[in-house]
Amino acid sequence: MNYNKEHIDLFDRYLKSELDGQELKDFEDRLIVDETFRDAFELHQLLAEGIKQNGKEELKNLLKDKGKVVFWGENLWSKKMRMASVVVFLIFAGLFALVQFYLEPKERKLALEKETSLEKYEYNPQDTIKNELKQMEIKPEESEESKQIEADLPPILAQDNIDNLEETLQQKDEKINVEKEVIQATPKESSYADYNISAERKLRDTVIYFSIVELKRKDFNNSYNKEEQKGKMQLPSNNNNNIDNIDKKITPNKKTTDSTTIENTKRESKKMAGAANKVTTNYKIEHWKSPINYRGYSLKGNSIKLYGYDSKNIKIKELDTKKYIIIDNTVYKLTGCETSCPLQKEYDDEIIDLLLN
Amino acid sequence: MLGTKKLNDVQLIEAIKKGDRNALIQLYRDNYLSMKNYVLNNNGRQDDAEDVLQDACIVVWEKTQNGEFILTSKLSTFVFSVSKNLWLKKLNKQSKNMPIDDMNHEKMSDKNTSFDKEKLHHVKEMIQTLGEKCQSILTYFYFDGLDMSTIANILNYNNADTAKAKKHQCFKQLQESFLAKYDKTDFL
Repeated sequence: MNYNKEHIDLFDRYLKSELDGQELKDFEDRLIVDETFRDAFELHQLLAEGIKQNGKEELKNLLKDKGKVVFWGENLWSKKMRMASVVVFLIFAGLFALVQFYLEPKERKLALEKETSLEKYEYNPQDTIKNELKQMEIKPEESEESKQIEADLPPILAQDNIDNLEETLQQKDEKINVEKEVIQATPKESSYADYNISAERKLRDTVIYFSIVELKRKDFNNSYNKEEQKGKMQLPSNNNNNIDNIDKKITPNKKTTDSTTIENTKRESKKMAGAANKVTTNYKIEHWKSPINYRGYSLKGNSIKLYGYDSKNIKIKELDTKKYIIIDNTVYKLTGCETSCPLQKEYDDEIIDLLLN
Repeated sequence: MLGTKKLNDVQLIEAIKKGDRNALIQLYRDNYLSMKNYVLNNNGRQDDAEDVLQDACIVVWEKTQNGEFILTSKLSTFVFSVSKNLWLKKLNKQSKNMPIDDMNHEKMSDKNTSFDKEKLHHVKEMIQTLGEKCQSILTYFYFDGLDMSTIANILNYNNADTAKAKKHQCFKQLQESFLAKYDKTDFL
């Protein structure tokens, strides 16, 4: 049954149809007569066929493994996964669009507003001084009360006040320059924190000087009570040299029990005290408009920010060490308020009378 | 295959003739979608389409190796018609309750010799026991139909004679291991 190398070559040549003529005839005759040769050939045929089958299977496996065609979304992506990915994509696209087309333009707009407001805030100190001095000159002519106060003011004191004011203005000018530098040095970045600053619109920014009349009502009352108790009218101890004049006008040891006398004395004393305590103090008033039409004020040092009050008829007076602001003949209490506070109306008729008259 | 240049029909046939298996994979991929659609529309499944297309590709491979393949139409048309015929035969055999795998044996035998499936299975078992080099050289010679000088080039043998000697050695080894396990009556 076993066959040698020559047999293998012969069988291969026959299977590949390479035998012809006499060689082919001899081979086929031998297959018929020689049983051993025939068995060997059949075994060879079987093995060759087995090798072919094996090769075919290997090739099929190769095509199965490497020829696998995966279309997008066929196997890797289930329908749910595709839907989820589409939803996620849409969410991200929406967020991107929101940032790109809504938030960023808004920030740009706010930054622009901020720049505009900063530009508006720029001062020309020389013009400011001129305007303020001009206002000082014009101011007494504007109201009768100011005229009266100015008339009552001793000339020397008034001149001193003007000198002091000029010094104060120079100091203020320097301060404004420093503020201006700080403002210019501030980076113009837009942020949400800027919104509150830029959204509040400043209407006017003028330094106005008011003459404040200190009418110390309590002291007056105290002295009146003391006068009642002791039978002697006394002026407050912190009054200046004019106290002597007042003392002269009010007769000592005079009992003033009837109301007319008291009123007269009170009016007299008030007039004297008022004349004696006229002190001019400068306040800077800034008129602001808030985006929500808020009405109120903030007081920091001698600087007052008024929100929602656009009137030019504004006076500041002091009574019993309390400050009052009079806007269009309405009296409001003025207390220290660094942040925004609403203006509180004064309802005490006596105080209102004293301040308005 | 991915990233390599796509071959046209003539180039594909030439490459297959030289035993380039990547060319056959390209042929398979090129015809995958059309065959899949056809089989799915004709009572078949994706597995059936793949199986039929694999068989069609092997027909192309065998015909090319035997020198019987003459390209008269588009290669895809030929592959599709072979696949279609194979699928229709399968459908006929399925309707007659005949075993599907039997139909391939006729094609595979050059001399119309058919062997028992069991006998062939035994031979394949024996082939698997051979070394990788032996399996390759026997497959190149008997399945791919390559000549000994080509096989020598592919497998880095010095020359055709060396390759031929190696082929004899491997075939003898297969014969002996088969005869050691099976009796003459088992396969004849």
